[in-house]
Amino acid sequence: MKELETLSRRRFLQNGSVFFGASALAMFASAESAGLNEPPLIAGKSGLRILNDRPLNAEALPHLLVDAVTPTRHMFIRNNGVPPVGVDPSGWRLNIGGESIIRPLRLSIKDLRSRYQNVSLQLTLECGGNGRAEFDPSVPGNQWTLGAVGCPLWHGVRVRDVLEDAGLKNDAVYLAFHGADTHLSGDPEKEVISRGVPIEKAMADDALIAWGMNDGDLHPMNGHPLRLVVAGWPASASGKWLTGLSVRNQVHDGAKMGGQSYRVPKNPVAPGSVVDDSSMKIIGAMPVKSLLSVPQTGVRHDRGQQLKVSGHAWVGDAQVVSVDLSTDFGQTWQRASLQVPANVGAWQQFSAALVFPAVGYYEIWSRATDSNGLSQPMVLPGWNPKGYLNNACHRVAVHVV
Amino acid sequence: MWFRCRLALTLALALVACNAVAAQVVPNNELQVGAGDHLVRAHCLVCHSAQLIVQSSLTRTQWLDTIRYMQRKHNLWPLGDQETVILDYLEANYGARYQSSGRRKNLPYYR
Repeated sequence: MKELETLSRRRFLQNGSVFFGASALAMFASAESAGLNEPPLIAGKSGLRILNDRPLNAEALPHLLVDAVTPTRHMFIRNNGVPPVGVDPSGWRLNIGGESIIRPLRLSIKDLRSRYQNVSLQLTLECGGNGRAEFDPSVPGNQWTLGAVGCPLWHGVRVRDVLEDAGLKNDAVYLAFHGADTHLSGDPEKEVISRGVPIEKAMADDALIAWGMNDGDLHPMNGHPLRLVVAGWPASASGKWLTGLSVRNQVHDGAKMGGQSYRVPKNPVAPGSVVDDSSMKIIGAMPVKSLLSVPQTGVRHDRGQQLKVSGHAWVGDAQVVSVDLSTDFGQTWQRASLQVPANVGAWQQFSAALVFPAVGYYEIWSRATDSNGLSQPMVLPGWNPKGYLNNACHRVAVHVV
Repeated sequence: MWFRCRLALTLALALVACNAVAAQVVPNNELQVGAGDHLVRAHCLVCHSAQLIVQSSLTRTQWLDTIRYMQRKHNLWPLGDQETVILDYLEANYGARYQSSGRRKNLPYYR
């Protein structure tokens, strides 16, 4: 394996500048060829709102998330550190190990492709902090609004097949990932993020080791050449630039597993509370949620016409059973038509045609309900210190004229 | 090289900002001018962009917690006497914003 060299801070700065500089120059060439008056600042991405350029974090504009299968260009980016550069897929190796693995493995991407059943699944990934911008009082971190979610078609192998090949000991508790990204401070000793999921989730049908998305390789900002994709859990559990998987005999204690990161209070707290680390628990499956991608908020609509409305609904480790829409601030609700997921772990599409009784200002609210009987709240649920799990119903404004 | 690329990036950002239908929306990446901004630049922007600060609105306690978190987890060094100046700056320019009513925020009207 071509070992990825550890970047000194100086190298990191240079590489950062090359990345952005090259993208900035490339835009002049690609703006015309794309046929859009929309030069991509990040090669291969468009329709994203950049929250932070160092580390790079960007979310999709909600009205562009219209496709059932999220195009690669609209898949959000959540980086914690500096992505690897000079990636060579043919030299990439994935190490399978940890206390609870019987036979450690060292696999190339070719090995993965040839030894295990290849699967293509549409799996939903949502950042645990999607919706953080609505927190009151506000909380630190990237102020995600709506677009840190997507459901591309991923190509890879099941985590389960690889772990069974390596052999699991009876004391296996947690699957942990390790990635090739480097720490922002340049400290080579620091792992950027090393999270994962309980072994039961790792062995589920909707947990993949993926090398491709949609019609190509993974996008460099989405983990090229290899990543974990664990549907329905905070996307931080789906490690990018994957170099290692460890099966632990304890709850994994890697970077961003403890403290306040990706953890919420065990018991509900009043907004603004300071919560001790010992009173926090790790986030599991993401709560039920929906997104209206059509119409774009602020649309002007002719009262005499039906308004076609559509979007997506999703939930971790369960299924969405209904989506209801309101145009009167939740006083009455009407059921949308809802499709079954393409596969376990994929989001579901809903649609409806709405009519409005009079001209004026309306909001369309969408509220999904899952197979556990849980629905989206109207207001921000369960304030927590780091701003996770805001699944309040989505609202779009309509001016009926 | 670095500065030339920075120039290219700045131009790119400026172009995108001027474009009403820009596909990639780039927020303000400049700190407010104010007493202590040079210290924030020196201590914080070594590792991350100003956007991480600019998009925040936190209480003084939350800012201090954030500094401690950066020191505990991300190699930020002790700030000494400058910590108070930095906190004053962050509180004054990126302090807590509370919503005034129980209703969720009005939807932005863009069209």
